[in-house]
Amino acid sequence: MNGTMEKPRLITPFNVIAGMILLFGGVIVVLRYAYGLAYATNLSNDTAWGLWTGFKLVFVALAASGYALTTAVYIFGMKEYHVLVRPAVLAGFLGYTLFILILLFDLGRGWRIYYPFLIQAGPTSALFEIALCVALYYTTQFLELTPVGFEWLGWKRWRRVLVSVVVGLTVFGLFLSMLHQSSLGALFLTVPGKLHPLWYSKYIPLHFFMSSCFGGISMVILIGLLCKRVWSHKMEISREKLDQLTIGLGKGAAIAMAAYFAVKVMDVALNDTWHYIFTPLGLWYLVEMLGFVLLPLFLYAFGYRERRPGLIRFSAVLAVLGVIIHRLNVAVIAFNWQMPLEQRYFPHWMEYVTVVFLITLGLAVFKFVSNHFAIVHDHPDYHAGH
Amino acid sequence: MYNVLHDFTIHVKTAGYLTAAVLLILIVPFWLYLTGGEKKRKK
Repeated sequence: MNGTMEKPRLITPFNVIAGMILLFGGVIVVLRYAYGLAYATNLSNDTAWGLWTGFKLVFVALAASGYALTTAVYIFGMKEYHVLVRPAVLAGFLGYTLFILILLFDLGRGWRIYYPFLIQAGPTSALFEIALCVALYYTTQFLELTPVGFEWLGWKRWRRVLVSVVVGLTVFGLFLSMLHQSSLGALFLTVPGKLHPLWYSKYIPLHFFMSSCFGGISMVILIGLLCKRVWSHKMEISREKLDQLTIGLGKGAAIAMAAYFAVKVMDVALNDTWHYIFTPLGLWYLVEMLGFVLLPLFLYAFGYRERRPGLIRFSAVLAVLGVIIHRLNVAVIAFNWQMPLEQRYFPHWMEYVTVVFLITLGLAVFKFVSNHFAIVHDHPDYHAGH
Repeated sequence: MYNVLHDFTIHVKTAGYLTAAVLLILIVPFWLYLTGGEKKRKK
């Protein structure tokens, strides 16, 4: 039934450290549900969106690896990247899983999560649209991954059915991703007075979507590297071939980042927010834009031009950090910026622990699934057939 | 700095058009730089 490789070892440094983090984080999660949000967070009526909301945006943005690569492979026909599709879709699926989990922690009454669909729909609300799109896209990604499970079970007929509809699923997934990636930005259109003018814009939905594009491509680059490092014996791709793919992805990321940078500069011009740039938060904005957008953009371009995969991977790290910083700036750092410092929100230590717990959980599940299913290699019975 | 909304709009529109023009012109050197390696290898 199972056509995978040798049994992986249970006691490894990663497993031990991850196990300790998951145990400690699990206790914090229990405390959050036992004593409520006020016990585990520093959220208040002034600041109802905190670190967890920031990481919701981060998880969704970086989960764009799934739609970025499936679009390239199944819609644009870039078949050479096919080898990275399953790891990218799995990472995307886990990113959305983490989003849903952190949403459940953040909601006062998480057990009512189905209310927008069954009890009280709000079709004019951006949040309703996000809930609907995320639910549908999560299902789509699950369906994209089901051939992996069918291969493991040996259900050839079902696998064939799912593989035959993968292009349709990709188109549907791309459509849903464009909608909810931008709608997450649209949420912040409701807070023009609370969000700093350098980050607030009527084009903020576009900023969110465009940054998810290069965030997703950069994640694919890093996932490819991670898979090659950890499962080099399983991956049916040489290091040279992976380097070629990385260089190609670097070109895509450079173009996406250039477009994003241009839109952000236009935004400062159209909102006439130049005078905010030499304020403390403005300087932080410059760090984000120059250090984590413009610098990786040029490193990507240089890496592609000179064919340097190592440099492109370093740029991918910077670009991913750039997406994380952008989302945290919008949701936490530049939010409620006019409030006196002593009244401002600073996350509780339990909020940080919960985020580390979730990231570790995501990595552990990725490792488990890749160890036991045909993610980083073709299943022996279906060689090059998915 | 601005006496009426019209002054402000003129200022912002001018800055917007000038920035857009500069960015559009910059596309050319960016593209030439990015794809310069491809041309070099083809030769």
